[in-house]
Amino acid sequence: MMKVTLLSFAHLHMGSYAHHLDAHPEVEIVGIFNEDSAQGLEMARRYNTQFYTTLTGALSTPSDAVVVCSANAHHKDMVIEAAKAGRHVLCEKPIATTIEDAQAMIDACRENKVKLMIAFPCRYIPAVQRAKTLIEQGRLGKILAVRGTNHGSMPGGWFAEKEKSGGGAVIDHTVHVVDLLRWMLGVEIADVYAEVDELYFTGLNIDDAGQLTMTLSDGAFATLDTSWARKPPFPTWGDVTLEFVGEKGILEIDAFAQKTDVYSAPQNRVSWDYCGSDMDKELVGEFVRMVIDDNQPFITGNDGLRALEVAVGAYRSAEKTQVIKLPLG
Amino acid sequence: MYRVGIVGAGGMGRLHAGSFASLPDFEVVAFMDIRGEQSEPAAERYKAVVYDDFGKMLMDARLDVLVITTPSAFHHEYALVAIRNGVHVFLEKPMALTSQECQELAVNARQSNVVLMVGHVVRFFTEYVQARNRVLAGDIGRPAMIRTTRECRMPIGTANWFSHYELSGGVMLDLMLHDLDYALWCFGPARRVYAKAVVTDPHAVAVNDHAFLTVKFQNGVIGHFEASWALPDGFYFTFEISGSGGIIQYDARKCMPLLLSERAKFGGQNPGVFLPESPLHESPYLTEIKHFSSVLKREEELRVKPEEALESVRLVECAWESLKTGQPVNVPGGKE
Repeated sequence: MMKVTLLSFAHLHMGSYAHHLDAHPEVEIVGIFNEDSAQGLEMARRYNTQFYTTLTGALSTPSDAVVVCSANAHHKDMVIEAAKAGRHVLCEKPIATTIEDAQAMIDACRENKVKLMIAFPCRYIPAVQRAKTLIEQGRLGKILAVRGTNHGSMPGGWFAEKEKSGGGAVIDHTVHVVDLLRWMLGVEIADVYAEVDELYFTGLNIDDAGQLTMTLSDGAFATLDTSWARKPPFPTWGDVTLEFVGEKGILEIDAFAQKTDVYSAPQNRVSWDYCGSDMDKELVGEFVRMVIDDNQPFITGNDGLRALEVAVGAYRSAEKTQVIKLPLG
Repeated sequence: MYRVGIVGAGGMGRLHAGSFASLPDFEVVAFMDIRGEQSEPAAERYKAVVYDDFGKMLMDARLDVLVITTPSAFHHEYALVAIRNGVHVFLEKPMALTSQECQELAVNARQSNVVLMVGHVVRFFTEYVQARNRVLAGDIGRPAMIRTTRECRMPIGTANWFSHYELSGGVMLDLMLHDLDYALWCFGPARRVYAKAVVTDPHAVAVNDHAFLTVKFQNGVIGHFEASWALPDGFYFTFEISGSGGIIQYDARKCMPLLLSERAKFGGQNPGVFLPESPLHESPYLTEIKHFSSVLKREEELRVKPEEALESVRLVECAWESLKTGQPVNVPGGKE
């Protein structure tokens, strides 16, 4: 059995990861640390495990790996502590809030000979995987232009506190699609231009609108809308869409298009129930295999860093109203 | 009766001829096309005279209205002559190839006291008009972003004129212009732009046929515009306008009330032909001509003013500049 310690439910994705770890036949959840004790105790009861009020306490109980879902700015300390304690790490995206923090995390994991995997679950969307195959088969020829969106809803809480999140919609929603571009096309991002603003909310004091344009290392280009543009009564939380324009044709992905439309009088709302495959389950399964089978991470710390760098570059671009070359010097 | 002459007897010329001919106060009396015989079937239909010389048509046919549906490069020349001769002009978009030419047309139209309307037909599409009315009514709160997509197969004009910068201006001036004009109509002047464009099919096309444009408007709205001639088949357009209090979405592909599925063996050209249609009692192309007619009769105020049509061309010029420099470009007259 692989023993896992859960470090923080601050990011709501931990709920899903915990569920899939709990359901995994080869995994035992041996402890939980959470900043919020009430929530931590509730989760410990749900997963029939121990709750710890301190990170040190949680790491003092033997385990093979940790999953880190704290606020973005706290990833660094947690991951480095876990690495020092010899734990393999699955870290929520974005890897960190600064390039320096991300590099320190990568270094700590390497020095302590533990594996670091970044949670980019979008790689496990079947339509994305199918699209990657079609592109690799050459069905579109060379890809020349990509239009992406990763719309979302403003999550509230620490996401809107810059010192904990590192930024708003741009840091939250740049990294998923940038990771897909890098992974699907085998490219790096060569430069970024961004319009960033606070347009959807008043008094939030953090960016909620972002429109990025990126040049790719092979000369192609891509645009990405990262905005927290979705709020009730819109029927769902957001989207991941990609349009690949190639020499031989155009391929469109609407990642969560597999849905039923629900019109509920008792709930007084319209909503979309996603009925496609669960990407988080695959992500968690991959992490478990990595630890048990001693595989190399499928999504590396460097993948996390490169994606973060585009978000950091986007903020710098908006500040200077200039195109910013990557990697950042 | 208003006497209407048409220069450029291609698809759009014939379409507008039909619209004018259907109105009670208009007669289509003259056609001119540099291809000569191209005009004849249409002229015959409306019992109009075919001219091979533009000046001769303008003088001899005693035109009240000139419709210009030539390749874009010739818009300015024909329009200027007509305007200076006191003839009202209905001009297909783009208004001209450069903002300077547009400016000259606008000034001359004002001085000559003629109606100059540019065929920005999107302003007559019900879905776009309704969305704008919703935005202006505050139904999505404070507008934040607009996203548009407009894609079709590479249009085939005479001598492949769409595929030459000096004739069509490429995909941004010919196709994206629709959405830029619409956004300017909704949100007012732009502050800066940043563009990316590519030739996806260099063997067949000599112009950018796929383009993205990011626009920051002076009122704060961020726009993302996509235009493409790289779609292998068909034609569609989408828009999304989101704000602090809601979202308006439209996707033409999802708004087709009719879907014909034909079996190949009964005459379909390909196996399993699907033909979606969106039939209307009145096409927006007729609505815009009716509006032009009402403006001539002083019943309505011109919906697409020459000074407004100019702004979308200016935006594309800034986009070209951005492509050249690889940097964002401030729109002249804009803030910052």
